[in-house]
Amino acid sequence: MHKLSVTELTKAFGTNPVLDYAAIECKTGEIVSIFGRNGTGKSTLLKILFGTLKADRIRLSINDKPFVVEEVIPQQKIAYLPQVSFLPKSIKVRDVVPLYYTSEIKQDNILYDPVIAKIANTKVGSLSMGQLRYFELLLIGNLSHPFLMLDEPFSMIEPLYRDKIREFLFDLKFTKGIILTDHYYDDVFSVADRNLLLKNGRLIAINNKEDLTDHGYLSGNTFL
Amino acid sequence: MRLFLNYYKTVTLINCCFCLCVATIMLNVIWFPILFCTLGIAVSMFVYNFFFKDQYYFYYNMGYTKKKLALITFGINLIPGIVLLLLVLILS
Repeated sequence: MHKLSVTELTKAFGTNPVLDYAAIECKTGEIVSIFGRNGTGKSTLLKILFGTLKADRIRLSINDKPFVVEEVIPQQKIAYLPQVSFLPKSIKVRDVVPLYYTSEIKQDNILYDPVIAKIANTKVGSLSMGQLRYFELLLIGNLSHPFLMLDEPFSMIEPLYRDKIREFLFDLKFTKGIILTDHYYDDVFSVADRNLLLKNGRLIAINNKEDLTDHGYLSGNTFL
Repeated sequence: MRLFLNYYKTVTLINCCFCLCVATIMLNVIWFPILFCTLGIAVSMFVYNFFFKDQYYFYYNMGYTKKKLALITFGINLIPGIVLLLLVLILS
């Protein structure tokens, strides 16, 4: 069981404060979602936790011990799926997997997945958005990092692959703590154990779609 | 290490092109080994960052920071750089 805890997370771009003493916690076996309108700082928050963006102030602890954010990547504590595709486009799917996994069992886990088996000989640059996102998720989800952060895993993905991603996340959460952000609230509500809304730099607990409406994330007409 | 070599191949190709261009412009082959293990690394990383910025996440997820990638590249380039430099000096 692993526990990631962040408090006092503060970040401003110039005079524009994006995160204002935000706090978040995530444990193994839990999927925590973060909603927020565009530009509210969801991706900023994830990048700060991953260590690729510097916070003005942050207190991070892993398993109740203080942890330096700059050590997240070197010590491989968090795997991160960014919004953009990060795989080299000229390499075939079957050649990407051995770059991440030396163990044949781990390679087979990915390459014998029914979806991946069909695209194994395809170059990454030729994959559809859904295939690419699913492959990226499988690739980083199988790593041994105790935590996983996903930036918009469902966005712009065809329904078939959204279902596949949901199934994978359900299985994965027993071994990892997962933090994800997305605007596809139906998909998010179906997988997340706890939901948060990032508003005015703070994270607010959300229980249902009505709460999202009350906080101005959804319009009142959304359910019509 | 296979993952690093994937990065190294791209960066070294850019580095070699840069060193070759400078050596040609300066009409002196000695610039190639000198730049190959010094400024060429910085230039190739800058070019990589410009064209393939998002691909750094490929390496971050496996524990490679930009600093670590640069240091290993520098370490690897140092040996052929010095050997080439000595060769050029001896031959000239």
